[in-house]
Amino acid sequence: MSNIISIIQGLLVIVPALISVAFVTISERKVMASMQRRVGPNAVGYYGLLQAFADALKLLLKEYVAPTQANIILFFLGPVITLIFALLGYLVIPYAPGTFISDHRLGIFFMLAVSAIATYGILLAGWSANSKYAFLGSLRSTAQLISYELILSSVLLLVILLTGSLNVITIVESQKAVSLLLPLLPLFIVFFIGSIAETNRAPFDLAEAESELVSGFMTEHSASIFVFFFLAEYASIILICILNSILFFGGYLSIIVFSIISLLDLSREDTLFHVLISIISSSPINLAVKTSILVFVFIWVRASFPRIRFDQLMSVCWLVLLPITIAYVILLPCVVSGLLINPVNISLL
Amino acid sequence: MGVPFEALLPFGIIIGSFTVGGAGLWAVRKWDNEGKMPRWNKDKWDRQMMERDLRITGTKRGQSSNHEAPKGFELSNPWKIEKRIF
Amino acid sequence: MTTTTFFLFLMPILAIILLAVNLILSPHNPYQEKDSAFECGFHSFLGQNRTQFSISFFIFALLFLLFDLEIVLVYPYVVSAYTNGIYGLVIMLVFFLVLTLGFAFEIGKNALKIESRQVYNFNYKSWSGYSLIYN
Repeated sequence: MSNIISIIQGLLVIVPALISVAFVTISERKVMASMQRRVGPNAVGYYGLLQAFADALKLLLKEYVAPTQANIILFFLGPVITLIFALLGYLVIPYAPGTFISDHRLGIFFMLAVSAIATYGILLAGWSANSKYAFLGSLRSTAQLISYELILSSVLLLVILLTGSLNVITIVESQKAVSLLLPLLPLFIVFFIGSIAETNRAPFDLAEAESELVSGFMTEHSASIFVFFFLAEYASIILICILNSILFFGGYLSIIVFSIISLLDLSREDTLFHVLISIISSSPINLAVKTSILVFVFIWVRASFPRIRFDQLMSVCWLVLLPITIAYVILLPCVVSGLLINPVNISLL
Repeated sequence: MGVPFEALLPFGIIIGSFTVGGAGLWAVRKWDNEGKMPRWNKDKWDRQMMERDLRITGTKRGQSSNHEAPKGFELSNPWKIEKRIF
Repeated sequence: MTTTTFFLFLMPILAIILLAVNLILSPHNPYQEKDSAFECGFHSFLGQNRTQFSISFFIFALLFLLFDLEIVLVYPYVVSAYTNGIYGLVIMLVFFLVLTLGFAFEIGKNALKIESRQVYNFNYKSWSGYSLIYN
């Protein structure tokens, strides 16, 4: 019985994730079409909504090409690793209070580690293909991912300083009064730039720059292993948007509904309406709306900015963003200690 | 051209699927946990207390106000008392 | 089997299923031209890959290792800032000061620069403080 419950819980997390991966691809194409005054895909299904499924089906039925000069095992293992570790991050996401698969006390560390291991998949895939475009693409991608991961982890450090716990749900619940966007606005901007670069999105998609490297580290990959890269890229976009909304927008908490409750003093009454509004104030729909808005911003950024050069990319990371975050890492503990507002970590007392 | 509503349809589906999945997970976990929400960020003390409640009442989240400890609770550990060989 | 364990097993199963569907259902008709490395033009040349690459990538990886280690070493302070108090803060600041000085030294040595042939480079000329962004 408990096994069946475990399976249902796992499927309830992973199926919406895969469905939204499919619809993020189609929404990217539709939104970019609208921004460029085109129609976009509109043939498959109503308004082209089933285009992503048609693409996936087509790619799954394509011939797989295993190049003779490649290391075949690593060639197939790289995309698999990327997909597995891009999807494993959904393990620690809280959808509502008490609604999570794993309540790990080091949940944020788990997310960081899993997104870091996905880099190895790209490195393996690019190196094992034994093609110069794939090799150069994987080199660039690895350098970019590890550089921007530094920024992500140091911003995370400051979030943890203000919330006092590595547990994801504690981080969300500690934003009940005010979401961390307000005290950490500059860091949110840095984190958002870092997360765009971490997911290899335009304008930082140097790893798969079509005009110079044919398709980057996945030049030689075809059929289902290409689908793996595709799924992993969009799954990590959604995951990092969820991470953004958890860290800076209060995750599943709705600040607006909370302020309505406190303004109208609704919390004391006990009718059905008030119970309903208190359920809505911390429910999965808030997380979903915040995540979708952030995904839209990702697509908007892609449609707006031209691609930058690789040396500019690395310079922006190491010479602009990293000094800013390091300055904050030095400043913020001093401010917090000076004002004596250190959060108490209960598990240490 | 107005607002291209077609481009917003996939976002609606994303929001819908995440909401349905989250609500389903919420329902399953609540049902699995005897109608209460699961506790989060449990430390060692919490786990020990939950295990003690399990031994006293027989259910995961049950609590008892009975001042007499049930049978088998004479020693504060869950293992059976082994007989001494010599 | 707990839910976490099941979830950890679900992902590889999903990947293997997708891979198996592809390997079973798709046609497979290889020949030499198809299986050679991608190249625009006629024949691909072996031996252009797995050779030397720019040393900058290695330096970035090395610096990433250093800085990531540094960040990871600060995490224990951050979760116990209340317990450690001002003493822990001072120790953390000293630790960070040393590494920041090292970082400034690396910037001054132009270790973080990737060679580019473009004239209007982001950090084209030598480092001169304020002209970081504008030249």
